[in-house]
Amino acid sequence: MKVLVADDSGIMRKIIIRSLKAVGVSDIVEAANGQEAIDAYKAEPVDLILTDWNMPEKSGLDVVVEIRALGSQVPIIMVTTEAQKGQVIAAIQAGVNDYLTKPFEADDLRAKLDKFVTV
Amino acid sequence: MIAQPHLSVIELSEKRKRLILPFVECTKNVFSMMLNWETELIGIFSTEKFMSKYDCSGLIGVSGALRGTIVVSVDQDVAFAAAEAFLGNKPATIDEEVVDMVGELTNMIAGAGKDRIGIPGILLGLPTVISGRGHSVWFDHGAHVEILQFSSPHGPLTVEIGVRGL
Repeated sequence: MKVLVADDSGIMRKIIIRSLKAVGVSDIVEAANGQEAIDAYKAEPVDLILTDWNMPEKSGLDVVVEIRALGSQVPIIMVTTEAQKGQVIAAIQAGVNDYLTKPFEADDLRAKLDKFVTV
Repeated sequence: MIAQPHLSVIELSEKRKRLILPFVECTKNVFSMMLNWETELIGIFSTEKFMSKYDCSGLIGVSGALRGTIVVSVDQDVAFAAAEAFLGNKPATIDEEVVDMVGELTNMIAGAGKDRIGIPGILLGLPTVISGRGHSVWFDHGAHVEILQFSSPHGPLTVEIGVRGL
């Protein structure tokens, strides 16, 4: 299973990657902004995407919209500080499969991964 | 001129409570959930400017329904201990990873606090981090500035909210 992790914070990417490795995922692609995430997905599709919302270049919402526009049904988890109802609805309408708000506890992230990770 | 600190939020006006309480709660949550640290509010100051006495500050611009800046400032020992908790190794200097971590803590505190204020249409920028002992952050002229001082197991930190429009 291959997973794309997009977040402009290197620390947050490490936290997510640590959880991914704990559930057995080792094939991981990192992106530091939305454009990198889109380019990485177009270069080589993955089986799961975890993306932040607020990133430079292009946002996580842009990532969702552009990847869905490709016809992809890859599961996407939005991991973000944006927690207002309207934003959650906008993300789901754009095609997000699940939503995790920061801050989170390790068990919260693990529960989300357990829904989508098949190793 | 910095006003005398309040030690109890009960004494605060409703306007100040509306701004302060979400950030007190969110700061405690961020450190508790992400680092398993207990933080305690030890003082609340209202001022027109902010003179940082800590080593590393994360700043996020606020626009839309409120306008201003949110700042999270941490002592070097706090920054190093947090980086060690996140990364597993303790940095020797304020390096790229420490800066990134302070930026992300700021992002989480500002983002969660913004949502809990309950005013729609508040927008946040991306975090910027400055470091250096004795650095200063000057808020917009006329902004209402609240400085929340916290203790943590590894040293002090402050969360400053300087906004107009509340």
